[in-house]
Formats: sequence, structure tokens, C-alpha cells
Amino acid sequence: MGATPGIAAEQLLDWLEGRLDQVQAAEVAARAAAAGPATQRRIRWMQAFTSASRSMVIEEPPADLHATLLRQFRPPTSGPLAQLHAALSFDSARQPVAIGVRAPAISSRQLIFTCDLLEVALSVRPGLRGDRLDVNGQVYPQQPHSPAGLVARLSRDEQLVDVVLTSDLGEFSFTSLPPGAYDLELTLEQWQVQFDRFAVVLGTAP
Amino acid sequence: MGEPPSDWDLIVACRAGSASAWELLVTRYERLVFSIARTYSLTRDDAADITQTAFLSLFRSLGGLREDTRLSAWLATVAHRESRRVLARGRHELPDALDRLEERLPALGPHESDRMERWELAEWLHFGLAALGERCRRLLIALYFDPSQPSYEQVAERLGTPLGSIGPTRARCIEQLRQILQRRA
Repeated sequence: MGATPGIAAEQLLDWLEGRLDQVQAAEVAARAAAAGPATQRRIRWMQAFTSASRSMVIEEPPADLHATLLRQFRPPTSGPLAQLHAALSFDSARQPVAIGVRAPAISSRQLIFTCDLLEVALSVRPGLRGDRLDVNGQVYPQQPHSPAGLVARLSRDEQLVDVVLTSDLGEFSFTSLPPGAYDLELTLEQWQVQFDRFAVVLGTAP
Repeated sequence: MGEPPSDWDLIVACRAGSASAWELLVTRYERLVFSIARTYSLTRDDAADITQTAFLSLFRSLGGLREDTRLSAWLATVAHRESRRVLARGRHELPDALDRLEERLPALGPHESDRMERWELAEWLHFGLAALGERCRRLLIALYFDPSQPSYEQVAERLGTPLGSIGPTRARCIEQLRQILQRRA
């Protein structure tokens, strides 16, 4: 490593990592403070690296995990995914309320999306954090398709938010979502189903 | 030596049935995904399960990925979200250190003023470490990222290196890492 004049690289690292005694540390600190811009940038980088490393784990996975991951691969039996669109067919927040009846406080909101291949029901509820929401869903595919192990992808502003696999019953959850407009996609066998964009807002009102 | 295949090249090859392309993807990202889960103080078994879930999700999503998909971000997102789900189920506390980490991230990134997400930092460092020689990579991982925080003596014994060489080699390897990451910026 190119050494700062008067400061050996190893000594610099020892200083940053607290390995020097008080006298040595003070001496190095003084020299570092008097160093030029390029050296200051190098010191800041090293400070950030050592600091970040205390909060970060980089580990080799277990040896048998690699083989397990390789076994997940199966050559595809079909061509590119066929695209389907699931439209919003029901939204509890848009249901009319009879005149003279006070509307109940909305604590959850139900959405249903429908296409030829499947139906998906979403329930939007307040999350544990007061400013976040949870979305719980369930997939009901047409027979003979199974709802288990489907990939559900949630995006916002074209940025991936979360990816989950559905349970044996086709259930899935996205938790602690900030309010906003979201796009949901489901992959079922050779189909990719895209859903009408939906908004989740605090109070669950549209 | 030619450039390694891009993630998109590997995704296309996987769609065409190439098991070796899948193996390259796994090799490229399994350490990142596993390490992200471990950053949440989850057990190695939990982290392995999360890694399996992440790659299973990836496999089942291959047909829907686009060329502009950032695969490292995709996998990191799954790893983070799944780790938080496991934490929530186990009622574990989110390590405070993770929240403080973001304050220290910008100086490591390509532009010091940029906010760098946690996953970007992990991916950034993984790239740099992967580009180092094996000796430097093993040394830096042991000294700086091993949660058991081994002593210099333990590291020297583990790597079969003289104790007195740990300090100088550490400095040389960190500078190599810094230069690799700056070239990538």
C-alpha cells in the first residue's frame, strides 16, 4: 500500500482498529489530520471499511448447500412465458353505502383480481407499524393447476419490493409496506400474470 | 481470459436448459445471499433455508426476468425480506447495528455523497472480495467479516500463515480491495 509519508499503512490500520497505545494513537492521529486530500480520502475509505465490517457478515455457506441449490434446476419444458392480465373485479373500498347509514371505520380492504387462469384475493390491513400496511393474498387457480409454490413479485415504480413463494394453499404475504401504488405479478407454470396496479393507503381507503 | 458471462447471458442460457449456467449463477451469488441472512444474526441453518428459498424463487422467475433486471439486487431483496420474515416469526430483535450501518455506507461507495443501500454495500464488497486472490480474500474475510472474530493467532493458524505476516499482508490486501472497487466505480 502506498504509505502516507510518515504513516505506514499497517500502522494506519492499527490506529483505526484501536490496536495502538494512547501515545502512538495520538501521534498517528496528528499525522493523519495533517495529511493531504488524497490521503484523507484513503483514510476515510479505510475507516468506512473497518466500521462497516463490524456490522456485516460475509461467510461461506455450508458445503452441502451448493449441491442443494444446483439440484433446484430443471430444464424448462416450455418456451417463453405467456402473458396474462388479471383485472380488479372487486374492491371493498368502492362499495356504495346506503344513505343515512354512517360508514363503518375501515380497518381492512379486500381486493379481488380475476383472469381466465386464476383469481387472487388480497386483504390490505394496517401493519404493526402505524405508517405501514400488510397485504395478505391467496391464489385460486382454475383446475387442474396447483396454487402451491407460485412466485409472487411485488414492485413499486418498477423497483422490486419483494418476492415470495405461495404456500400449499396459495397464500402469500407482503408485510410492512409503505403507502403507495404497487404492481403484482404471479408466475404459474408457463404463464406470467400481471395485475391491475393497486394502491395501498393508510386508512385503507382508495 | 475473456470477460465472465453477464447475468443476462446466464439467465438466457438457463432458460435454454443450461445447468452449467445455473451453476455459475449459484456460485456467483450464494455467498451474498447466505451472508445477508447471517447479517440478521440468524443461524447458519436458517440462512441456508433462506438461500434455498431465494434461489428457488429465482429459478421459478427465470422466464419473467428482464434484461435490465439487476440480479444481485433481486436476490438481495429476497434475502432481506425473507430474513425479516424469519425474524418476525422468531420474535427476534433486529440487530441495532444494521440500522447504524447506513450512516457509514456512503464513504465506501463509488461516490461518497451517494446513499448506498445495505444490499448494495454487500454486493459491492462481495464483488471486490471475489476479485481478490484467494489468499487475500480468505485473510480479509477471516479478519473483518467472520462473526466469531478470530484473533490474529487463530487466523494465522487457520490460514497456515506466520503470525508476523498477518499485519503487513492485511494492509496490502485492503489496498488491493480498495483499488478494485475504485476501478469498478
